[in-house]
Amino acid sequence: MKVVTVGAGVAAAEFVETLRNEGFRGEIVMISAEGFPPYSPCVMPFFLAGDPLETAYWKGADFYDRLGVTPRLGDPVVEVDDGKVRTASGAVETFDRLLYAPGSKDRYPEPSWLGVHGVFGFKTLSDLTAIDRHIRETGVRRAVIFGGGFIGVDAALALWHRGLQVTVVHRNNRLLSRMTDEEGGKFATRLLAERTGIEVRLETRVTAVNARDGALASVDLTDGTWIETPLLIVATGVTPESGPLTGADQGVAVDEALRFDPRVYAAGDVAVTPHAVDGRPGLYALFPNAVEQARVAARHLVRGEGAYPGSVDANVLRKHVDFPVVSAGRFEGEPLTWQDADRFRRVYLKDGRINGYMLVGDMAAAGYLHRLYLEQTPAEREVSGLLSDTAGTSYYRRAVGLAGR
Amino acid sequence: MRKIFVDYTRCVACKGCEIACAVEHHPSRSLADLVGDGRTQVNVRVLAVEHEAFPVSCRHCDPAWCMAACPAGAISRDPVTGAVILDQARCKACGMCAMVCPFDAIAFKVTHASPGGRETAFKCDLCSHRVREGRLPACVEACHSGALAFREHEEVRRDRATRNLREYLLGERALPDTFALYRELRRKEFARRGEPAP
Amino acid sequence: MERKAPMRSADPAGVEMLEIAERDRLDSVWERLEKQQPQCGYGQLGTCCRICVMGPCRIDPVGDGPTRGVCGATADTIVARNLTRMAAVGASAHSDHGRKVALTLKEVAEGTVTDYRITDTEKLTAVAAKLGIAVEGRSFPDVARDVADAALHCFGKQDDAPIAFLEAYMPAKRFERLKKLEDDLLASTGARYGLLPRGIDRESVDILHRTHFGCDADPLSLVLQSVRCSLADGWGGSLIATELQDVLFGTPRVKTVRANLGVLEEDMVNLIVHGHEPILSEKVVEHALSDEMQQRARDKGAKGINVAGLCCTGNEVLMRQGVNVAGNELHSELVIMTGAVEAMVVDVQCIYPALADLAACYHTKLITTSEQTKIPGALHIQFEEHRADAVARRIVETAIDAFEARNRGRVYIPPHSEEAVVGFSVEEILKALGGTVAPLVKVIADGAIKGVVGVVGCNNVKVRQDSFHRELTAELIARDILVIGTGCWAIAAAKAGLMQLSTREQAGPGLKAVCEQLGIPPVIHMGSCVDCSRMLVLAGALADHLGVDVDALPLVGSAPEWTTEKAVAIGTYFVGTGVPVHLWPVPPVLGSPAVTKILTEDAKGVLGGYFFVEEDPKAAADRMEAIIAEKRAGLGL
Ligand SMILES: Cc1cc2nc3c(=O)[nH]c(=O)nc-3n(C[C@H](O)[C@H](O)[C@H](O)COP(=O)(O)OP(=O)(O)OC[C@H]3O[C@@H](n4cnc5c(N)ncnc54)[C@H](O)[C@@H]3O)c2cc1C
Ligand code: SF4
Ligand code: SF4
Ligand code: SF4
Ligand code: SF4
Repeated sequence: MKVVTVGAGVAAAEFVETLRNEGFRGEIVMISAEGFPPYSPCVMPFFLAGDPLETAYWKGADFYDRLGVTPRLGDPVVEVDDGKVRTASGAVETFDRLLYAPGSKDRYPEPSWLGVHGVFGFKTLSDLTAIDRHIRETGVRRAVIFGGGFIGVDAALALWHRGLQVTVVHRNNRLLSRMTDEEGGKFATRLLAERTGIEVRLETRVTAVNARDGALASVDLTDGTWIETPLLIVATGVTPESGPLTGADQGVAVDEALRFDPRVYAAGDVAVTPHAVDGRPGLYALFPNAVEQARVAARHLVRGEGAYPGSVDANVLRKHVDFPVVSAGRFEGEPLTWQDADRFRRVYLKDGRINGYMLVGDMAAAGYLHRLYLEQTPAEREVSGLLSDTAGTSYYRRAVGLAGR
Repeated sequence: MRKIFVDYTRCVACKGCEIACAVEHHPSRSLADLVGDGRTQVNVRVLAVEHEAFPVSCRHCDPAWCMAACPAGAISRDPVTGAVILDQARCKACGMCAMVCPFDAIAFKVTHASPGGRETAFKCDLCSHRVREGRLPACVEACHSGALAFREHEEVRRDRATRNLREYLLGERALPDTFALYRELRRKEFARRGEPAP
Repeated sequence: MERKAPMRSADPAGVEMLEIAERDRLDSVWERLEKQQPQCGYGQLGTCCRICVMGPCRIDPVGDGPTRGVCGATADTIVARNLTRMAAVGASAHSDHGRKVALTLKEVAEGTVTDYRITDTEKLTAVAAKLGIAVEGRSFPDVARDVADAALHCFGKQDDAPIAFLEAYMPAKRFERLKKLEDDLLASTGARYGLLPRGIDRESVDILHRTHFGCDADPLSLVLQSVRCSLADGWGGSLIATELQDVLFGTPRVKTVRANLGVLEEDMVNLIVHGHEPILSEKVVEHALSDEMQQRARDKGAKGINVAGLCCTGNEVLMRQGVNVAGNELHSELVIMTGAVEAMVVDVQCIYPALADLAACYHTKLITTSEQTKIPGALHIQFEEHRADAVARRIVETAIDAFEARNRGRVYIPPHSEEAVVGFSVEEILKALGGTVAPLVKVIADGAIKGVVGVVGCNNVKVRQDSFHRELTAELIARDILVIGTGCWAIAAAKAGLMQLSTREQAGPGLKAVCEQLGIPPVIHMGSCVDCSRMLVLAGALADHLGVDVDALPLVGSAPEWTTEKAVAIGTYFVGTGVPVHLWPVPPVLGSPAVTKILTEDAKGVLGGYFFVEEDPKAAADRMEAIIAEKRAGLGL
């Protein structure tokens, strides 16, 4: 049997490793638009901040050799059809089974901006190596990030850590707006701005980029001002790369074994999956989901059994800083809050169960909270203790039979 | 696989386990050198849970939540001991592992193993280097009260069952009387401290 | 969110200050206790031995691990050694205080110290008479020198005879009982066990010797030596401190004071005296009240100088000078947090090292004065008896000078203080009774008063401040049990308003009637913690009057919020004198079932006194009432 993967990212690499761990000895071909060993997008900002590039290869730089894989790199797939994939260069690869995992791609407000030297996305390692080169070659000291979501803030922190003067331009009234409710998000925004010195321009957008000799010189903002900068990073959103398989960019619908059709599995940022807690289908584009989906798909391929329990939307931003922002679930229901000058902790309860939560400033008892949320354990009596638990003892209170007293 | 089992009812909070772990993981392996050394890594913490003391370290889950969540490939399983090992050289301190560890067994700081003086996550490594040599984990060796035991799961389960049965059928007590009294008085003292004003 | 403050203190002023501490995130003994959790069980059980460097050794209390230290010491040996050392430290602290008083008296008598004088010649004569020192036709300094020498002889003599103060003051039956016990033990075991102290210093040194590596391993022998050492404190060092302080500064007389943080004055220079000895604080009070200093304070914009006491130094100046008391041990940080204290001058014992850092957050000067108590960060003004006036003046001036730096915005004085009738020396009690204990014996005999409970000091941060003191005291008086006591308990009772004449309304009918008749409160302040000796003397007077041993009397002792090694010594000399003693928290002995049994059971048969532990005030009162009933039945009442 011959297995092919579209993409050589998180899902594809985990899929291949699981196949081999499960004893699959057949031929494996991995096709990727880029030319790297599998890398972890979550880690690549650290490269920009100064870590060696190799540390982004989270399964090792020797991945293809180690796992006996034939890589076909630097040639994006443009079409999948009846046991064959076709790439941009016109090459065709046949398969018995396919994993479709090309992730997602940046969505630019103005595709033309990309033609200006100094404007970059922040989605792929290709983006980041290009940014790195730009910074080194032109001695960049200043950067503007358009988009204050998770990836935008991640980019801002990496560049701040590298020593650049950074401004984040964001259209919402707080950073990380998808990870937070209004109050928690504002708390996190204040903390970020105060502790790092990153400038934050809220309820503002970039309207135009101005080039001088083909290189970026400044950006115009909706408030009528402009910022002189040689570097603009656009992180305003992503779209699943589902076109080559489905002809549309809505993501790939899959069954409980992550199958699009009897021969094609899909996993990672491109797959539409149910939420583990409330079942709502969606694009839950996070690293642990990509890993778990890849494992379920690979095991299913080998054993013919297994089902995906659903995706989680728990996420944490804690890169280059020691005040994490943790968030999971939906911010609906009865909010319960604990806060002091440095910490903001809020849980949303629904029917006595945790429906969503946010922890800003520290992670005490975060893991236990995550478990209560996932397992939907009745937590009404425990929750106020949990919120004020700054020592991380909550799980152990339960373990010794003192919980909820 | 052998793991560390905790019987917190026997823990007397001496923190001998913390000290032993700290020495074991200090580059100098010397107690004197870790005094005042903020980079000292202590992989077990004796938590105060009201009047109880609970020695907390990694449970070495299988499958391990933290391992599946780590986007840096920093967490792996030791093929010999089965321990879940966090390689600080690869860790980015991103917090994903701590966010999902149901036992809240992962902490962050700059340790001697952190690269480039940056904070990293750290946790118990089951003293795999010792276990591979047929020795006990340092904390288990240090614990004099039997609160920590390094054993196969099945064995522990069987033992607990027979002990419970003996207690039930023969009325045998698991703890000596004065120790049980000590625990009870500790509980009362704590409860009185926490009593709201009348 | 839960409010911590009301769970930490039962004192309203304490609660208010703790709320401020919480709001301003101030470090305190309560915060530090939380940070210490969980605390080591080996320490709590007493089974950690650090006596030699083959150790430290710990004995597994559960029985799975080692049952012997490296040298072979068992849990019984280790627990007994540790406990005995605690008694030695406690007894030494009290007795060393007594030594300084005796030395000062001697120097005053010889004229080498001129800043003090013999204030109470009546007491001097009485003490001399007790000791068999001739007074007839002799000058007071002559007599005083002999008394001081007799006291100093108790510390340093080298023969094996019992010390003179004990022999003179201990009731006859008790003395005989202890002597016989020594003889009986020798006869039955062939080994020597001593109970009657040979020298105050010697018994502590004996403990240091016998608990050295490789000496006494016998728990009974160790516990009995702790009794002997403690008796050398109660009937020796502490007694000497009390009696000779009375000679130097006057025997306390009944008076009314106010107690609690509300005694601080918003617009005056507040000077706190804290610690245990009156020698310096007497002088500080004298100079602070002088016209010159008051004027100086007014020159700086204050309305005057207000001296208030804390802990047992507070009790000393309260008993003799009627100085108001700001609080007990757990108030020592809170008083600084009022922001209204210019200086806290301390001598020895129970002074948190943390005070220095706390004082540094305010304009408050923490002034240490003793060679034996120096604290990094504090201002040290060395006290010396022969320069007492000069030192006291400098301290008062330092306080005055600090007034200008006071940050008025930070001042908050909780408006709580209670009136208290205090000053009950044995002499004053006898005076109230008409000169003899007979009327007291009568009201006990006819059941108006069922018995007497003597409660002693300390706060312990593990117990909600004053809660046990208050509840136990209230329980007991309601049951017609007279409550007497000293130390931080006494301040707790005063702060709770339990030492007023009107408190008798809370007493049972019998006790109430007696209080009305004698014009006393049902809760009696007998002084500082060294003044526990006053309670011994009173018990002795009752025993001698009835011709019985102390253990026959309906008396119980209690240390319900104890903290220090001194309390171990006090509890042990009560037990050695024949009084059952209640303790809470538990002392570090439970690691040894044998030692626990000696202290709680065997001691009863041998000494008449014994220890018991009870964590609930009401249950403790029940137990005390039952003991009193048992003793009454024994007396045929
Ligand atoms: C900057 C950044 C930070 C992040 N941080 C976190 C984090 O902290 N925590 C977290 O949980 N998640 C994080 N994520 C999200 C996480 O990285 C993704 O959810 C995860 O990588 C998804 O895996 P995937 O395999 O679906 O896609 P990817 O890992 O993106 O892999 C897709 C691969 O497919 C290739 N490809 C794309 N198009 C084609 C094509 N047409 N043909 C062939 N190959 C193609 C790409 O080159 C790439 O190698 C982050 C993402 C980014 C961009
Ligand atoms: S760190 Fe937590 S999740 Fe990971 S193995 Fe240990 S206990 Fe399990
Ligand atoms: S903190 Fe370190 S070990 Fe934990 S998930 Fe992140 S990179 Fe991995
Ligand atoms: S097993 Fe080793 S690393 Fe883990 S807690 Fe014990 S001593 Fe520390
Ligand atoms: S060594 Fe054992 S008894 Fe001591 S704290 Fe650790 S687990 Fe508890």
